[in-house]
Amino acid sequence: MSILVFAIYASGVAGLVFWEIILLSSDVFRKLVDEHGRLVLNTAFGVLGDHAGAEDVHQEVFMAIWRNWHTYNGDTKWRGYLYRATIRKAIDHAKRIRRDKGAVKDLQLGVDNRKPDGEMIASQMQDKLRMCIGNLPKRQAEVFVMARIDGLAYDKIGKVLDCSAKTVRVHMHRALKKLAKEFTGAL
Amino acid sequence: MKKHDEILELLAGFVLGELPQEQAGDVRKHLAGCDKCTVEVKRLRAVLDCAEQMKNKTVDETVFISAREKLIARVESGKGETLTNSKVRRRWIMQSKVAKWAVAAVIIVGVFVGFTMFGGTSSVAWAQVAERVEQVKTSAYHVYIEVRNIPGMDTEKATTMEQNIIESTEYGMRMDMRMGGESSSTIIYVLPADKIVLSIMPDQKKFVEMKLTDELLDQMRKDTYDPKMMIAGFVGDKYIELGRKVIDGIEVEGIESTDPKIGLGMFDDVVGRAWASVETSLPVLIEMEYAQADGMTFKLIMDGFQWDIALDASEFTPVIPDDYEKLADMKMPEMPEMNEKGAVKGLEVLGTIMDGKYPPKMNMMDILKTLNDRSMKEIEALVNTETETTKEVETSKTTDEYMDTMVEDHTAVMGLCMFYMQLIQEDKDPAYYGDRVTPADTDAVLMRWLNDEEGYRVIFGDLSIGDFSPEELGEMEAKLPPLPVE
Ligand SMILES: [Zn+2]
Repeated sequence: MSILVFAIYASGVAGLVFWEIILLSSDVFRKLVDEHGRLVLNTAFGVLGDHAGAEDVHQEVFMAIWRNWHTYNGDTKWRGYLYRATIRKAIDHAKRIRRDKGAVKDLQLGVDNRKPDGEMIASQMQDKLRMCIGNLPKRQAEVFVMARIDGLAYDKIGKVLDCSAKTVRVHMHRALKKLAKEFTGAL
Repeated sequence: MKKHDEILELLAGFVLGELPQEQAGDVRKHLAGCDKCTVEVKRLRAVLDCAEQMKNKTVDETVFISAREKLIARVESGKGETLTNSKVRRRWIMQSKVAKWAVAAVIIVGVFVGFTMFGGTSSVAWAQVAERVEQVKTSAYHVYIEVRNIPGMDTEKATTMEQNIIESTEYGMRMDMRMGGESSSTIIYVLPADKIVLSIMPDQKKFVEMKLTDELLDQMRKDTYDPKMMIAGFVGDKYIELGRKVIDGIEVEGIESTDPKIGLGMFDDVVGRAWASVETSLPVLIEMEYAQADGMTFKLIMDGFQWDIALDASEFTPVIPDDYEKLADMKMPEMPEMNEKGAVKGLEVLGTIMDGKYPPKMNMMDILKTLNDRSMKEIEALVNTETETTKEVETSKTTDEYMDTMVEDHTAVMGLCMFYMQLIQEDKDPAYYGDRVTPADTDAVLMRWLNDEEGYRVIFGDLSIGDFSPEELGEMEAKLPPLPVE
């Protein structure tokens, strides 16, 4: 037995053992969270504006991946995948704020009452805009968030959403018009 | 001048600053005289202004850390449940393991065959290369392996492996290995003085230790398939001179062989090329390609050779930080036994698996394919019964137990096949009659090879063993059962 053949054999065996460990110990998953967790949290925070909501989205996004861990392979482009999944979940959450609107508003007034008036009003307005975004058709909401809150260019958004920059622009314009109607209509 | 309705359509583009100058001018002119549009612009701008304030928000690192801890805790607590209850997941893990094992097996066989092709002596010039290499005390080289269409795996993607190896007659060997598509690497030390093989995965902070038996060490010392001494011209006569060329600034001379014998019967097509430096008579590049009729291909390239370099003991001293976990309780598959005992074990496994038959040919690739197909089917059946069975009813064999048995069986069979390849390589005149002999044929020769006393060692259908003279063997082989009619 050659020393090299033996070493390769040993590595095959070790690989087998390690493979099992990697699968079962969630090390790779942990790495994924370490690497992209901030992106997920920051993106969700940008859309929702509160820590609790961002944390919820963070949990939901990663738990969904963990539950389907077996369907992913080395080819998954995690960054883009997670970014889009986060935006979707965050928009879903924004929709839910709408239902608890009364409660949120009271709570915010209670918490924020030491802030200067201008800032308080600004945060209320942002909440209102969030609700309106949650109310948009899915694709329009995604485009609006990516373009205006995350500041992505249309061609980059097109890459994430797998469509042309032109299509992104159309969605953006529609989103903006609808938002203008809803957002200022209630002010 | 554009109409109000037309301008209204342009307003979103206008506030976003996306309109060409001329159109923007039109809008501005219109706005001066249209209150409705002016209000619309204000509303659009209000949305954009508000969104602008929501930009660039980031959470503190503490928020991230706490969110991560909560998430991991949730994953870990639910892990056991997910693993035992999810049929899909369970099947996936099992099949991945079988597949990984198959890849490992194929690579081992490929490398093994590759190194035997340079075994014989036929050309004076190349014998000198071998002699020169044999004097070398240390070496470093790079190995690239690429396998496609591995039996039992439904992926067309190539499985690749890269290794950087350093070797020393004094200290042993170190190999830094990376599987294609995986970012993490494994470092393997073969340390004959300590009688161990260490595999370390720095990314996972884990390591495995395998003990080397004295028997194995002896075998490693005795045999010479090592790349350090493998260039001795090709076995057989079917090689051609490739002439001279320059590789990396070194003038080299090459030979090529397509003699099927160098594939040891494992591969249908084989091509091997070796290039050695004209000046130093030391190898510079070795390429080998094998192909199977069923589509599997195997490619092995060795380059980056450095000979007699200064290697320090420290390069062969494993460094394992304190926080690395030793996988001591891990059940390690045994090294296949490449000897008579191992051959009998492998044949026994095959006889049982194949319901009272032996594989018709001693071809490792075909045999591995049979084993893998069976494993996949059994896993499927096991996973199904496991899920259907309620918790109170114990299944006769758990998937984990099955996995252990599977690896043991594969190992035994690999030992048999590798032993047989070694017999071919050493010109021990081996023969195998699995195409007509079954476990029920107690007196029929199943496998034989030359023993050390000018006679033959024989394994019979019932796996009993004996030594016989060539005449006795001839008589026995004349009485072999007839080949089954198709
Ligand atoms: Zn107008």
